[in-house]
Amino acid sequence: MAELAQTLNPAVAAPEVAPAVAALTSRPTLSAGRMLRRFASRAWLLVALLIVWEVIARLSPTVFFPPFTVVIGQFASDWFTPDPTTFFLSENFYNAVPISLWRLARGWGLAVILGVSIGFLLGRSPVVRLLYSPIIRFWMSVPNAALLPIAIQFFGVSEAVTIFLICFGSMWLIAINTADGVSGVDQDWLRTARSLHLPRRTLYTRVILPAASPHILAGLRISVGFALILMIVAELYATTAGLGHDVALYQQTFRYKQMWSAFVLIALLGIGINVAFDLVETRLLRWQRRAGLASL
Amino acid sequence: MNTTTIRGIGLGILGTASVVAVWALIVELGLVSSASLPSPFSVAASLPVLLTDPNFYRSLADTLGAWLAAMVIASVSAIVLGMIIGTVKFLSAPAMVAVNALRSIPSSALIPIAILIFGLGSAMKIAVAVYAVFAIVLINTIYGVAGREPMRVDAARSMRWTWWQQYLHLTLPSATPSIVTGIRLASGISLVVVISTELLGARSGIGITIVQYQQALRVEMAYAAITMVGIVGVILYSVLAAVERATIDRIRLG
Repeated sequence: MAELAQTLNPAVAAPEVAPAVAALTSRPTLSAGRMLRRFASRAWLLVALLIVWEVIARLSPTVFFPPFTVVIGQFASDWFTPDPTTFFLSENFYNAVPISLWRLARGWGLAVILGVSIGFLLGRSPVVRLLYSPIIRFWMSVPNAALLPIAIQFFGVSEAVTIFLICFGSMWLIAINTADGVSGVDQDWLRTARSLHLPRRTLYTRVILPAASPHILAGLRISVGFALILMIVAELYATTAGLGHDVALYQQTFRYKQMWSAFVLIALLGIGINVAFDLVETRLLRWQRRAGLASL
Repeated sequence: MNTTTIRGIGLGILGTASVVAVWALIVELGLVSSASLPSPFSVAASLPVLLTDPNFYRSLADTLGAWLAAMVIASVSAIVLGMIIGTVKFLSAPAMVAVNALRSIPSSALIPIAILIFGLGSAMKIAVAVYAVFAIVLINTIYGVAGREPMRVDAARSMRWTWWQQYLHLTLPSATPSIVTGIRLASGISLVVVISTELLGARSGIGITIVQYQQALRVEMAYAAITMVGIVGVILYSVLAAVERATIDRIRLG
């Protein structure tokens, strides 16, 4: 069983990714000057890379690859307005971003509910796990983008295509990670719970769920990145609105600066989702002792 | 083979059969139109047709070739760079900031940009997949290097190992399990990315074949092709997982 758990676990390395930001965010208060110096000592490489982009783009004659400063100017004029009644965000922004994020929320939310439930079933019953792990592994290995043409056949060009792809693409990762976490709960804890005659509900909410949460969160973290990739693919392929659709439209109508500015917005959304995830994860897992890698 | 393995395999077959049975039942009862979901029997019947079609192998080879090229290019450069970043103190923290920012950007958003820069050929597919793989392997390499045992580092220093001896006999072996895990994680994502590029504009590949079958209303062939791609995915995953276990065991023993 342990061996099976190991081969099925796609996320062994993932929990270690969090401490990097944990180390950044959970520091006690620093003075403004030290914070600035800290920021400079960490961000200089990123800034240097952006400068390299600027220089290369200025030197090369192609219109496909505008300099960073031009993209940022375009970004500001595309997505922001001076109008405070719309929170300084432009109509463009409201026409694309909420649609995409709402699709992501529905697809990924459904995947979390289904994935965690399936994971609990698999993790609690070894028989169920043996029965269904081959087919789940198969579904996990099918490159989900290949399902897009089929999804179009099923749902037509609609919201459901994106939601289906996001959900189907992320739920198996979540399920398998949850199953690993649930089946890996310390046997002594379970025996103690039994001898204390804990009610079933308490056993699940107070013992199994917290013990499995690092694994579950690791699965959620990988799957949210993956969900974002699939959201963009589905929107590029067949939709009538959304961020991916905007990028495709700008590309087809040769508006390359707008395309890059939409790309920057997607990048910032991705970074924002990841940072939000880090914060939630640090808060939920603060009872866990962090290993030495947190120093990175 | 002991009884537990046989029981495991038997239950696995039983579970898969039950899923196929539910699928057949859904089609038989007419819950969904057969234009969207053909019966499992017609999909199984079209598998031999697909497997004797040389065009299928050509496009599959095309996809896997791009996948492999991207995996090799991205892994090698990420491992080399990651070992340098991991061992050079003042680079580690800023590199993590840059890589974490890079990693958060969904690779599929780059496909339209890559099409402009690289055209519709294999170079475009490989470029997008390299981007998807590079950050994952790089992060895992940096973590692997950071997890070196301090005692061994000290021992290497007191034996006055040269820098390349240290990289070859200390840093690389210590980081290997973490690197292999990263490569396994990245392999699935890069296959998705390669197929996405094919759906969105590459000239050849298995993604194109699936779309062609769907548009020609031969849905059962599309399902058969997806099944084959899934089987290839399972094989790739199993091989990489086996390599991962083997390296981890070897490193622990050695």
